[in-house]
Amino acid sequence: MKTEFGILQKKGGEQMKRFTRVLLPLLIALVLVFGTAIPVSALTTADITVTATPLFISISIAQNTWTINGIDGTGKIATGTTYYSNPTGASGDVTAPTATVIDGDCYFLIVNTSTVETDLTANMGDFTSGDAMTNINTGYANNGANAYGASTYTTGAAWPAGAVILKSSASTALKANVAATTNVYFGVAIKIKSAAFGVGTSMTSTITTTATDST
Amino acid sequence: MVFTTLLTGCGAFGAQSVIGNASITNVPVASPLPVPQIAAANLVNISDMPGFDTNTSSAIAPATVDIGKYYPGATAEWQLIIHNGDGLKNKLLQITTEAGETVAAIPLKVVLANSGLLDIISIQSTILTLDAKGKYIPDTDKVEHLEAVAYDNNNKLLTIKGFKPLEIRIVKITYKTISSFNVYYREPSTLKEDFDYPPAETGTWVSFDKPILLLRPMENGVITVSLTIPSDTKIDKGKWLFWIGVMEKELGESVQVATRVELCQRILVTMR
Repeated sequence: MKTEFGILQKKGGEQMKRFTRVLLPLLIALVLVFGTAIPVSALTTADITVTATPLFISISIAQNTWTINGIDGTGKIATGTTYYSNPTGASGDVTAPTATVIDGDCYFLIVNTSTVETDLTANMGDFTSGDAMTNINTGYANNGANAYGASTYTTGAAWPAGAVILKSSASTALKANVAATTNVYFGVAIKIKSAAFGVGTSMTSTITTTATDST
Repeated sequence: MVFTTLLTGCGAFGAQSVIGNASITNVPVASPLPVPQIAAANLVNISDMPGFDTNTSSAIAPATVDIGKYYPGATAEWQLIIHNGDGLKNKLLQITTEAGETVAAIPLKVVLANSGLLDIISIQSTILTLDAKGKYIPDTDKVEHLEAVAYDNNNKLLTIKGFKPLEIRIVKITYKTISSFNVYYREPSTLKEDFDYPPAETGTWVSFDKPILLLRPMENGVITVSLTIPSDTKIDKGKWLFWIGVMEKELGESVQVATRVELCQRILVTMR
Protein backbone atom coordinates (compact mmCIF):
# COMPACT_ATOMS: atom_id res chain seq x y z
CA MET A 1 0.00 0.00 0.00
CA LYS A 2 1.29 3.43 -0.81
CA THR A 3 0.00 6.55 0.84
CA GLU A 4 0.75 9.97 -0.44
CA PHE A 5 0.84 13.18 1.43
CA GLY A 6 1.72 16.75 0.57
CA ILE A 7 -0.56 19.55 -0.49
CA LEU A 8 -0.48 18.63 -4.15
CA GLN A 9 0.49 15.47 -5.93
CA LYS A 10 1.24 16.14 -9.56
CA LYS A 11 0.56 12.92 -11.37
CA GLY A 12 0.13 14.14 -14.91
CA GLY A 13 -1.57 16.95 -16.71
CA GLU A 14 -5.01 15.42 -16.74
CA GLN A 15 -5.14 14.87 -12.99
CA MET A 16 -3.77 18.34 -12.39
CA LYS A 17 -6.49 19.89 -14.53
CA ARG A 18 -9.14 17.91 -12.70
CA PHE A 19 -7.71 19.06 -9.41
CA THR A 20 -7.70 22.69 -10.49
CA ARG A 21 -11.20 22.67 -11.95
CA VAL A 22 -13.04 20.43 -9.53
CA LEU A 23 -11.20 19.63 -6.33
CA LEU A 24 -9.55 22.96 -5.67
CA PRO A 25 -12.81 24.96 -5.53
CA LEU A 26 -14.25 22.23 -3.35
CA LEU A 27 -11.26 22.37 -1.03
CA ILE A 28 -11.51 26.17 -0.81
CA ALA A 29 -15.18 25.87 0.02
CA LEU A 30 -14.42 23.36 2.76
CA VAL A 31 -11.79 25.64 4.23
CA LEU A 32 -14.25 28.50 4.25
CA VAL A 33 -16.82 26.32 5.98
CA PHE A 34 -14.61 24.66 8.54
CA GLY A 35 -12.05 27.40 9.05
CA THR A 36 -8.79 26.07 10.39
CA ALA A 37 -10.14 22.61 11.14
CA ILE A 38 -8.56 21.16 8.03
CA PRO A 39 -4.87 20.50 8.58
CA VAL A 40 -2.72 21.75 5.74
CA SER A 41 0.90 21.09 5.01
CA ALA A 42 1.29 24.71 4.07
CA LEU A 43 5.02 24.74 3.58
CA THR A 44 5.30 22.04 0.98
CA THR A 45 5.94 23.61 -2.39
CA ALA A 46 3.13 22.84 -4.78
CA ASP A 47 4.97 21.22 -7.64
CA ILE A 48 7.03 18.68 -5.74
CA THR A 49 5.81 15.35 -4.43
CA VAL A 50 6.15 13.88 -0.96
CA THR A 51 5.08 10.28 -0.60
CA ALA A 52 5.46 7.51 1.92
CA THR A 53 4.46 3.93 2.51
CA PRO A 54 2.79 3.04 5.83
CA LEU A 55 5.60 0.87 7.13
CA PHE A 56 7.42 1.35 10.40
CA ILE A 57 10.74 0.62 12.04
CA SER A 58 11.02 -0.73 15.55
CA ILE A 59 13.80 -2.57 17.31
CA SER A 60 14.86 -3.06 20.90
CA ILE A 61 17.73 -4.90 22.48
CA ALA A 62 16.92 -7.50 25.09
CA GLN A 63 20.18 -6.97 26.97
CA ASN A 64 20.97 -3.36 27.59
CA THR A 65 24.24 -3.82 29.37
CA TRP A 66 27.30 -6.02 29.20
CA THR A 67 29.90 -6.34 31.88
CA ILE A 68 32.97 -7.48 29.98
CA ASN A 69 34.10 -10.83 31.35
CA GLY A 70 31.00 -10.75 33.49
CA ILE A 71 28.82 -13.36 31.84
CA ASP A 72 30.77 -16.35 33.11
CA GLY A 73 33.81 -14.59 34.50
CA THR A 74 34.53 -12.39 37.47
CA GLY A 75 33.87 -9.09 35.73
CA LYS A 76 37.52 -8.14 36.08
CA ILE A 77 39.40 -7.57 32.84
CA ALA A 78 43.07 -7.86 31.91
CA THR A 79 45.03 -5.73 29.48
CA GLY A 80 45.74 -7.20 26.06
CA THR A 81 43.09 -9.88 26.48
CA THR A 82 40.29 -10.58 24.03
CA TYR A 83 36.83 -11.09 25.54
CA TYR A 84 33.65 -12.28 23.89
CA SER A 85 30.05 -11.68 24.84
CA ASN A 86 29.63 -15.41 24.55
CA PRO A 87 27.28 -17.03 27.06
CA THR A 88 28.53 -20.50 26.14
CA GLY A 89 32.07 -19.65 27.18
CA ALA A 90 32.86 -21.77 30.23
CA SER A 91 36.05 -20.03 31.21
CA GLY A 92 35.35 -16.41 31.78
CA ASP A 93 34.11 -15.01 28.49
CA VAL A 94 37.37 -15.76 26.71
CA THR A 95 35.89 -18.42 24.44
CA ALA A 96 35.50 -17.48 20.80
CA PRO A 97 32.21 -18.25 19.06
CA THR A 98 31.86 -21.43 17.05
CA ALA A 99 33.08 -21.57 13.45
CA THR A 100 29.56 -20.97 12.24
CA VAL A 101 28.06 -18.71 14.87
CA ILE A 102 24.99 -20.01 16.68
CA ASP A 103 22.41 -18.15 18.77
CA GLY A 104 24.03 -19.48 21.92
CA ASP A 105 27.29 -17.69 21.12
CA CYS A 106 25.51 -14.35 21.13
CA TYR A 107 24.70 -12.38 24.24
CA PHE A 108 22.70 -9.65 22.55
CA LEU A 109 19.31 -10.09 20.94
CA ILE A 110 17.81 -7.46 18.67
CA VAL A 111 14.06 -7.80 18.90
CA ASN A 112 12.86 -6.59 15.54
CA THR A 113 9.19 -5.77 15.06
CA SER A 114 9.74 -3.59 12.00
CA THR A 115 7.29 -4.13 9.17
CA VAL A 116 9.92 -3.34 6.57
CA GLU A 117 13.22 -4.97 5.67
CA THR A 118 16.04 -3.22 7.53
CA ASP A 119 19.78 -2.76 7.73
CA LEU A 120 21.03 -3.09 11.30
CA THR A 121 24.29 -1.32 12.11
CA ALA A 122 26.21 -1.12 15.36
CA ASN A 123 28.78 1.44 16.44
CA MET A 124 30.71 1.53 19.69
CA GLY A 125 32.19 4.66 21.17
CA ASP A 126 35.30 5.22 23.21
CA PHE A 127 35.45 4.09 26.82
CA THR A 128 35.44 7.06 29.12
CA SER A 129 35.94 7.50 32.84
CA GLY A 130 38.31 5.29 34.77
CA ASP A 131 40.90 3.79 32.44
CA ALA A 132 39.72 5.26 29.15
CA MET A 133 40.22 3.46 25.84
CA THR A 134 39.60 4.78 22.36
CA ASN A 135 38.21 2.58 19.61
CA ILE A 136 41.06 1.64 17.27
CA ASN A 137 38.42 1.06 14.55
CA THR A 138 40.25 -1.88 12.97
CA GLY A 139 38.56 -4.80 14.67
CA TYR A 140 38.96 -7.20 17.56
CA ALA A 141 42.36 -8.52 16.49
CA ASN A 142 44.02 -5.19 17.14
CA ASN A 143 44.59 -2.90 20.06
CA GLY A 144 46.85 -0.06 21.07
CA ALA A 145 48.45 1.19 24.23
CA ASN A 146 45.24 2.98 25.13
CA ALA A 147 42.97 1.74 22.37
CA TYR A 148 40.67 -1.26 22.13
CA GLY A 149 39.58 -3.14 19.05
CA ALA A 150 36.16 -4.70 18.62
CA SER A 151 34.09 -6.70 16.15
CA THR A 152 30.59 -8.08 16.03
CA TYR A 153 29.37 -11.50 14.97
CA THR A 154 25.86 -12.70 14.21
CA THR A 155 24.16 -16.07 14.04
CA GLY A 156 25.03 -17.93 10.86
CA ALA A 157 28.16 -15.93 10.13
CA ALA A 158 31.54 -17.59 9.78
CA TRP A 159 33.95 -16.92 12.60
CA PRO A 160 36.31 -15.15 12.34
CA ALA A 161 35.98 -14.47 8.62
CA GLY A 162 32.47 -13.11 8.94
CA ALA A 163 33.18 -10.75 11.82
CA VAL A 164 32.23 -7.11 11.23
CA ILE A 165 34.54 -4.39 12.51
CA LEU A 166 32.81 -2.45 15.26
CA LYS A 167 33.87 1.14 14.70
CA SER A 168 33.07 4.25 16.66
CA SER A 169 31.02 5.41 13.66
CA ALA A 170 30.18 4.31 10.13
CA SER A 171 30.56 0.60 10.77
CA THR A 172 29.49 -1.80 8.05
CA ALA A 173 26.03 -3.21 8.67
CA LEU A 174 25.99 -5.76 11.46
CA LYS A 175 23.32 -7.51 9.43
CA ALA A 176 21.98 -6.17 6.15
CA ASN A 177 18.59 -6.74 4.58
CA VAL A 178 16.98 -8.24 7.66
CA ALA A 179 13.48 -9.40 6.84
CA ALA A 180 10.58 -7.72 8.61
CA THR A 181 9.84 -8.97 12.13
CA THR A 182 12.99 -11.08 12.21
CA ASN A 183 15.10 -11.03 15.35
CA VAL A 184 18.88 -10.99 15.19
CA TYR A 185 21.34 -12.39 17.73
CA PHE A 186 24.76 -10.80 17.87
CA GLY A 187 27.88 -10.87 19.97
CA VAL A 188 30.88 -8.63 20.50
CA ALA A 189 34.56 -9.53 20.61
CA ILE A 190 36.78 -6.92 22.20
CA LYS A 191 40.53 -6.72 22.70
CA ILE A 192 41.43 -4.61 25.71
CA LYS A 193 44.15 -1.97 25.48
CA SER A 194 47.74 -3.07 26.07
CA ALA A 195 48.93 -0.41 28.50
CA ALA A 196 48.55 -1.09 32.21
CA PHE A 197 45.48 0.21 33.97
CA GLY A 198 46.24 3.23 36.04
CA VAL A 199 43.02 4.23 37.74
CA GLY A 200 41.50 0.81 38.29
CA THR A 201 37.93 2.03 38.25
CA SER A 202 35.17 1.18 35.83
CA MET A 203 35.11 2.74 32.38
CA THR A 204 32.02 3.00 30.25
CA SER A 205 31.06 2.83 26.59
CA THR A 206 27.89 2.48 24.54
CA ILE A 207 26.96 0.27 21.61
CA THR A 208 24.40 2.06 19.47
CA THR A 209 22.40 -0.15 17.13
CA THR A 210 20.75 1.62 14.23
CA ALA A 211 17.87 0.38 12.15
CA THR A 212 16.85 1.83 8.81
CA ASP A 213 14.84 0.82 5.77
CA SER A 214 16.97 -1.26 3.38
CA THR A 215 14.49 -1.82 0.57
CA MET B 1 23.05 0.96 53.54
CA VAL B 2 25.20 1.05 50.45
CA PHE B 3 23.77 1.44 46.96
CA THR B 4 25.53 0.66 43.74
CA THR B 5 23.84 1.41 40.46
CA LEU B 6 24.29 -1.46 38.07
CA LEU B 7 22.01 -0.88 35.21
CA THR B 8 19.10 0.98 33.85
CA GLY B 9 17.04 0.43 30.74
CA CYS B 10 14.41 -1.90 29.44
CA GLY B 11 16.25 -5.11 28.90
CA ALA B 12 16.19 -8.51 30.48
CA PHE B 13 17.68 -9.13 33.87
CA GLY B 14 20.84 -11.14 33.71
CA ALA B 15 23.68 -11.92 36.05
CA GLN B 16 25.70 -8.76 36.49
CA SER B 17 28.90 -8.03 38.26
CA VAL B 18 29.50 -5.08 40.49
CA ILE B 19 30.52 -2.15 38.32
CA GLY B 20 31.22 0.59 40.80
CA ASN B 21 29.55 3.67 42.07
CA ALA B 22 27.62 5.58 39.47
CA SER B 23 25.86 8.87 39.31
CA ILE B 24 22.19 8.96 38.39
CA THR B 25 20.88 11.83 36.31
CA ASN B 26 17.33 13.04 36.11
CA VAL B 27 15.53 13.02 32.79
CA PRO B 28 14.66 16.64 32.01
CA VAL B 29 10.96 16.89 31.45
CA ALA B 30 8.85 19.86 30.48
CA SER B 31 5.30 19.97 31.64
CA PRO B 32 2.65 19.70 30.42
CA LEU B 33 3.33 17.18 27.66
CA PRO B 34 2.58 18.21 24.08
CA VAL B 35 -0.68 16.84 22.77
CA PRO B 36 -0.16 14.24 20.04
CA GLN B 37 -1.57 15.23 16.68
CA ILE B 38 -1.93 11.90 15.02
CA ALA B 39 -5.30 12.80 13.53
CA ALA B 40 -3.76 15.47 11.34
CA ALA B 41 -3.86 15.02 7.58
CA ASN B 42 -0.82 14.31 5.45
CA LEU B 43 0.33 11.48 7.66
CA VAL B 44 0.61 7.84 7.00
CA ASN B 45 -2.42 6.42 8.70
CA ILE B 46 -1.65 4.51 11.88
CA SER B 47 -4.61 2.27 11.20
CA ASP B 48 -2.76 1.12 8.08
CA MET B 49 0.17 -0.02 10.24
CA PRO B 50 -1.05 -2.83 12.49
CA GLY B 51 1.18 -3.22 15.50
CA PHE B 52 2.60 0.30 15.42
CA ASP B 53 0.76 1.86 18.33
CA THR B 54 0.53 -1.35 20.34
CA ASN B 55 4.26 -2.00 20.09
CA THR B 56 5.96 -2.33 23.47
CA SER B 57 9.16 -1.03 21.86
CA SER B 58 9.65 2.42 20.40
CA ALA B 59 8.81 2.77 16.72
CA ILE B 60 8.92 5.38 13.97
CA ALA B 61 6.91 5.80 10.77
CA PRO B 62 6.99 6.11 7.90
CA ALA B 63 10.17 4.15 7.35
CA THR B 64 10.96 5.99 4.13
CA VAL B 65 9.84 9.29 2.67
CA ASP B 66 10.19 9.96 -1.07
CA ILE B 67 10.58 13.54 -2.20
CA GLY B 68 10.14 13.89 -5.94
CA LYS B 69 10.71 16.68 -8.47
CA TYR B 70 12.63 18.62 -5.89
CA TYR B 71 14.59 21.77 -6.76
CA PRO B 72 16.53 24.41 -4.79
CA GLY B 73 14.12 27.00 -3.47
CA ALA B 74 11.37 24.44 -2.87
CA THR B 75 10.29 23.16 0.52
CA ALA B 76 9.23 19.64 1.35
CA GLU B 77 7.50 19.05 4.64
CA TRP B 78 6.48 15.76 6.18
CA GLN B 79 5.54 14.33 9.50
CA LEU B 80 7.50 11.75 11.42
CA ILE B 81 5.43 9.73 13.87
CA ILE B 82 7.15 8.43 16.97
CA HIS B 83 5.61 5.79 19.18
CA ASN B 84 6.87 5.31 22.69
CA GLY B 85 6.94 1.74 23.84
CA ASP B 86 5.74 0.56 27.22
CA GLY B 87 8.06 3.02 28.95
CA LEU B 88 9.29 0.28 31.22
CA LYS B 89 12.76 0.79 32.53
CA ASN B 90 14.83 -1.25 34.92
CA LYS B 91 17.24 -0.08 37.51
CA LEU B 92 19.60 -2.59 39.04
CA LEU B 93 21.18 -1.75 42.34
CA GLN B 94 23.50 -3.66 44.59
CA ILE B 95 22.27 -2.97 48.09
CA THR B 96 24.09 -3.94 51.27
CA THR B 97 22.10 -3.81 54.50
CA GLU B 98 23.49 -3.25 57.93
CA ALA B 99 22.45 -4.81 61.23
CA GLY B 100 18.76 -4.23 61.94
CA GLU B 101 18.15 -2.50 58.62
CA THR B 102 14.91 -3.51 56.91
CA VAL B 103 13.71 -0.30 55.26
CA ALA B 104 15.59 1.95 52.85
CA ALA B 105 14.95 5.04 50.75
CA ILE B 106 16.41 4.32 47.31
CA PRO B 107 17.49 7.22 45.06
CA LEU B 108 15.49 6.38 41.94
CA LYS B 109 16.05 9.84 40.44
CA VAL B 110 13.81 9.46 37.41
CA VAL B 111 10.55 11.09 36.40
CA LEU B 112 7.83 8.50 36.78
CA ALA B 113 5.01 8.50 34.25
CA ASN B 114 2.39 9.38 36.84
CA SER B 115 4.69 10.55 39.59
CA GLY B 116 3.71 7.88 42.07
CA LEU B 117 3.86 4.36 43.38
CA LEU B 118 1.56 3.15 40.59
CA ASP B 119 4.53 3.50 38.26
CA ILE B 120 6.59 1.02 40.24
CA ILE B 121 5.79 -2.19 38.42
CA SER B 122 7.89 -4.66 40.37
CA ILE B 123 10.80 -5.02 42.76
CA GLN B 124 12.84 -8.20 42.68
CA SER B 125 15.67 -9.12 45.00
CA THR B 126 18.43 -11.67 44.51
CA ILE B 127 20.51 -12.19 47.64
CA LEU B 128 24.13 -12.94 46.85
CA THR B 129 26.79 -15.09 48.43
CA LEU B 130 30.45 -15.62 47.65
CA ASP B 131 31.50 -18.85 45.99
CA ALA B 132 34.83 -20.60 46.41
CA LYS B 133 36.42 -18.49 43.66
CA GLY B 134 35.41 -15.26 45.34
CA LYS B 135 32.65 -14.53 42.85
CA TYR B 136 29.20 -13.39 43.93
CA ILE B 137 26.50 -15.87 43.00
CA PRO B 138 22.77 -15.97 43.85
CA ASP B 139 21.98 -17.55 47.21
CA THR B 140 18.92 -19.59 46.38
CA ASP B 141 18.32 -20.49 50.01
CA LYS B 142 17.54 -16.91 50.95
CA VAL B 143 14.47 -15.08 49.77
CA GLU B 144 13.19 -11.63 50.64
CA HIS B 145 10.00 -9.94 49.49
CA LEU B 146 10.46 -6.24 48.93
CA GLU B 147 7.61 -3.77 48.73
CA ALA B 148 7.54 -0.14 47.67
CA VAL B 149 5.76 1.86 50.35
CA ALA B 150 6.38 5.51 49.46
CA TYR B 151 7.76 7.72 46.70
CA ASP B 152 9.14 11.18 47.40
CA ASN B 153 8.51 12.95 44.11
CA ASN B 154 10.53 16.00 45.07
CA ASN B 155 13.68 14.13 45.97
CA LYS B 156 12.99 11.13 43.70
CA LEU B 157 13.40 8.70 46.58
CA LEU B 158 11.64 5.34 46.64
CA THR B 159 11.14 3.81 50.07
CA ILE B 160 11.27 0.03 50.09
CA LYS B 161 10.61 -2.28 53.02
CA GLY B 162 11.26 -5.97 53.57
CA PHE B 163 15.07 -6.08 53.51
CA LYS B 164 16.92 -8.74 55.45
CA PRO B 165 19.67 -7.17 57.56
CA LEU B 166 23.32 -7.89 56.86
CA GLU B 167 22.89 -9.15 53.32
CA ILE B 168 24.15 -8.16 49.90
CA ARG B 169 21.65 -8.39 47.06
CA ILE B 170 20.88 -7.23 43.56
CA VAL B 171 17.60 -5.36 43.45
CA LYS B 172 15.82 -4.89 40.15
CA ILE B 173 13.27 -2.10 40.16
CA THR B 174 10.98 -1.98 37.13
CA TYR B 175 9.12 1.27 36.65
CA LYS B 176 7.31 3.33 34.05
CA THR B 177 8.78 6.63 33.02
CA ILE B 178 8.27 9.41 30.51
CA SER B 179 10.61 9.06 27.54
CA SER B 180 12.43 11.89 25.85
CA PHE B 181 13.24 11.37 22.17
CA ASN B 182 15.87 13.42 20.36
CA VAL B 183 15.31 13.98 16.63
CA TYR B 184 18.20 15.03 14.40
CA TYR B 185 19.67 15.04 10.92
CA ARG B 186 21.79 11.96 10.32
CA GLU B 187 24.39 11.17 7.67
CA PRO B 188 23.39 7.87 6.07
CA SER B 189 25.50 4.81 6.82
CA THR B 190 24.14 2.86 3.89
CA LEU B 191 22.87 3.84 0.46
CA LYS B 192 20.13 2.69 -1.87
CA GLU B 193 20.81 1.75 -5.45
CA ASP B 194 20.96 4.81 -7.73
CA PHE B 195 21.01 7.18 -4.74
CA ASP B 196 24.11 9.11 -3.68
CA TYR B 197 25.24 10.51 -0.35
CA PRO B 198 23.68 13.88 0.46
CA PRO B 199 25.33 17.22 -0.27
CA ALA B 200 27.57 18.25 2.60
CA GLU B 201 25.29 21.11 3.66
CA THR B 202 22.14 18.99 3.93
CA GLY B 203 22.12 19.11 7.70
CA THR B 204 21.69 22.88 7.56
CA TRP B 205 18.73 22.54 5.17
CA VAL B 206 16.73 20.24 7.43
CA SER B 207 14.66 21.64 10.29
CA PHE B 208 12.20 20.34 12.86
CA ASP B 209 9.26 21.98 14.56
CA LYS B 210 10.68 20.55 17.78
CA PRO B 211 13.93 18.65 18.28
CA ILE B 212 12.75 16.73 21.35
CA LEU B 213 9.54 14.86 21.96
CA LEU B 214 8.34 13.78 25.39
CA LEU B 215 6.04 10.79 25.41
CA ARG B 216 4.25 8.83 28.08
CA PRO B 217 4.17 5.03 27.85
CA MET B 218 2.41 3.84 24.66
CA GLU B 219 1.85 7.41 23.51
CA ASN B 220 2.36 8.61 19.92
CA GLY B 221 3.77 11.97 18.90
CA VAL B 222 4.51 13.86 15.71
CA ILE B 223 7.54 15.80 14.56
CA THR B 224 7.19 17.96 11.46
CA VAL B 225 10.34 17.86 9.35
CA SER B 226 11.17 20.34 6.59
CA LEU B 227 13.75 20.30 3.83
CA THR B 228 14.45 23.68 2.28
CA ILE B 229 17.43 24.23 0.01
CA PRO B 230 18.27 27.86 -0.77
CA SER B 231 17.29 28.78 -4.32
CA ASP B 232 20.81 29.81 -5.30
CA THR B 233 22.25 26.42 -4.38
CA LYS B 234 23.64 24.22 -7.12
CA ILE B 235 23.02 20.51 -6.59
CA ASP B 236 25.02 18.21 -8.84
CA LYS B 237 23.31 15.02 -7.69
CA GLY B 238 20.18 13.70 -9.35
CA LYS B 239 19.21 11.29 -6.58
CA TRP B 240 20.47 11.40 -3.03
CA LEU B 241 19.36 10.40 0.42
CA PHE B 242 19.75 11.25 4.05
CA TRP B 243 18.41 10.01 7.37
CA ILE B 244 16.48 11.48 10.26
CA GLY B 245 17.62 9.87 13.48
CA VAL B 246 15.42 9.27 16.52
CA MET B 247 17.00 8.18 19.77
CA GLU B 248 15.75 8.12 23.32
CA LYS B 249 17.70 10.37 25.59
CA GLU B 250 20.25 8.66 27.80
CA LEU B 251 19.40 8.37 31.43
CA GLY B 252 22.98 9.15 32.36
CA GLU B 253 23.63 5.90 34.14
CA SER B 254 27.13 4.55 34.21
CA VAL B 255 27.56 0.95 33.13
CA GLN B 256 30.54 -0.73 31.56
CA VAL B 257 28.96 -1.35 28.15
CA ALA B 258 25.47 -0.04 27.57
CA THR B 259 23.33 -0.56 24.49
CA ARG B 260 21.13 2.00 22.82
CA VAL B 261 18.79 1.95 19.87
CA GLU B 262 18.63 4.50 17.08
CA LEU B 263 15.72 4.41 14.65
CA CYS B 264 16.28 6.21 11.37
CA GLN B 265 13.82 7.43 8.80
CA ARG B 266 15.25 7.38 5.29
CA ILE B 267 14.60 10.34 3.01
CA LEU B 268 15.00 9.75 -0.72
CA VAL B 269 15.35 12.93 -2.75
CA THR B 270 14.94 12.97 -6.51
CA MET B 271 15.75 16.27 -8.16
CA ARG B 272 13.60 17.74 -10.91
